[in-house]
Amino acid sequence: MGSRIDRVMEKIRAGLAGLPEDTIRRALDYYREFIAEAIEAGRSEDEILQRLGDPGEIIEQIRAEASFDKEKTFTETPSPGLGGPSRTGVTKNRDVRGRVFSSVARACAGKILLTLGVFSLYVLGIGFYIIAVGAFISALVAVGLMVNGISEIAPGYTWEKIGTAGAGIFVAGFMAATGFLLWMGANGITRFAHGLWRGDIRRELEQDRETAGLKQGDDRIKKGLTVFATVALFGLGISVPTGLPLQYFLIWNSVKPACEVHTENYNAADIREIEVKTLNSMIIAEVGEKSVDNEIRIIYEEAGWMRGTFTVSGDKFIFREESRRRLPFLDFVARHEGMTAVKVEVPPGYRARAMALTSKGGHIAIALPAGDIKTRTLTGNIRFDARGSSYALRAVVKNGKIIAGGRPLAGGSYTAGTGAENTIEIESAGGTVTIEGVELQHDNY
Amino acid sequence: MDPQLKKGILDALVLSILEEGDTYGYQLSERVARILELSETALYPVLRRLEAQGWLGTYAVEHNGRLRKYYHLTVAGQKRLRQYVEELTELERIIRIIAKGAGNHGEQN
Repeated sequence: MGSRIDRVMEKIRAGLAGLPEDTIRRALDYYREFIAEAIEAGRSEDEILQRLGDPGEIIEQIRAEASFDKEKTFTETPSPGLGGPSRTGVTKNRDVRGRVFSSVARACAGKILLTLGVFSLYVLGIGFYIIAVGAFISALVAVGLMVNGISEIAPGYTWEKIGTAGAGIFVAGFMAATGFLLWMGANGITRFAHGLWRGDIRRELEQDRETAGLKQGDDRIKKGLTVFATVALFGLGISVPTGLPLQYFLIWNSVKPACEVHTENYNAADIREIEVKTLNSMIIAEVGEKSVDNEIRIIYEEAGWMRGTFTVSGDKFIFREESRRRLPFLDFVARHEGMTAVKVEVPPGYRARAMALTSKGGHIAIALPAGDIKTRTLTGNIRFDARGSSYALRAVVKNGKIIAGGRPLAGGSYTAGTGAENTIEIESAGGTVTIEGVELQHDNY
Repeated sequence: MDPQLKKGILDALVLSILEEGDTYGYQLSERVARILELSETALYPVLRRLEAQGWLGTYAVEHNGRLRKYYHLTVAGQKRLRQYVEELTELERIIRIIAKGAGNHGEQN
């Protein structure tokens, strides 16, 4: 055998490395046999080489066929009616009777499998369509939220407006791209199911049309994705430099922002009632360790997007934390605990007539003997240390739990203390209420 | 030629050659080559595919101290061939319409 032919065979063998042993052996056997026959028939080396064709192409073909075989074993089912291709891997040495019998069985099983397969493909496709529509709606919602968010921002905060617009554009673009991709996926799935169902000769013709259609679809996918991805990136490019996304990220992940600390002192004798209301700053009410006698001290850590107001009306002190309308959606974000705090320090022995401490998302910690206390949060946790006071306590949680005296309690409400002089009302919709220093024998839940 | 179409025609051609009698690889290749230009590159995958589909079977016969692989048509292969003939007849009809109609018969995708 000519050495050029040997070299071609060697090349083929090397190119097939990695394929199943069996596949390689079969292919090499085939080509060896062909070469031997051709030599026997008196063909010249050139002729043989020409008939063999390009070894690269041979390798590619065998590889393609091998992967096709593998796929087929799992996916191919006989087509309905026209008895198209049967399952691969048919046993070769069965007698005719066995073959006929098994082909009938296969045809039945195949039909059922095909129906099931086509049906589930359709269901899958419809599911994709629905999710795609959801994604498109989300894109529209994102635009609406963006407009609303911008209108929430007070005049003067231009960067925040730009940042919000960018974020809205990003989300809208991203959702549209997702929806688009899902839509095209649904399209492909249902078309495939359709083709599978129609089957056979028409299928072969159809397939040509379909591959053309899919190619067209591919192009459309590429184009659509490019457009939407560009929109999303554009939005991101506008938004990120304004620092707004980072801001939200930090808030959401409870990172304490840079803040300005305000301290106000009041004569304790003048203040009989204390009312504190925050968005998501923590409220801490305690006996100040270093506080001067007869002085109530309020320390507020003010983040750049919040405004704290301190007012005294008669003998009532009122603190309010409000949004500067600089960050949009703060109402929503404020459900998340903030890391800033307003601290109410009272002198030892001080008793307010009444205290009302309310926060939307912040934690509340109370550790002082006081008069009537009302404290509420939406999602924050409340810790109440009752030591040293005499009270009738009632705590209510909706979704959180109550831990009293270190013991988690079943149920959403808890009362302790009997007919004492002060009333303590604790209410948290979503947080945990922890009560310390209670006498557990008073449990009467 | 459209690869899909060519594939179908090649399959049918090989099956129809085998219907006339069992053949070994080289002979089959010669006969196909007489009808249409085809390198071994293209024929081998066809044989593999047809065998994998169960349309043709193989057996070995000793020849000059080596084994010669013969291909034969199976029952499924005969059935498939008949189907191909029907399909190709249908295709022929369509091709005639296409060749004549110059694309003006309203079918649009």
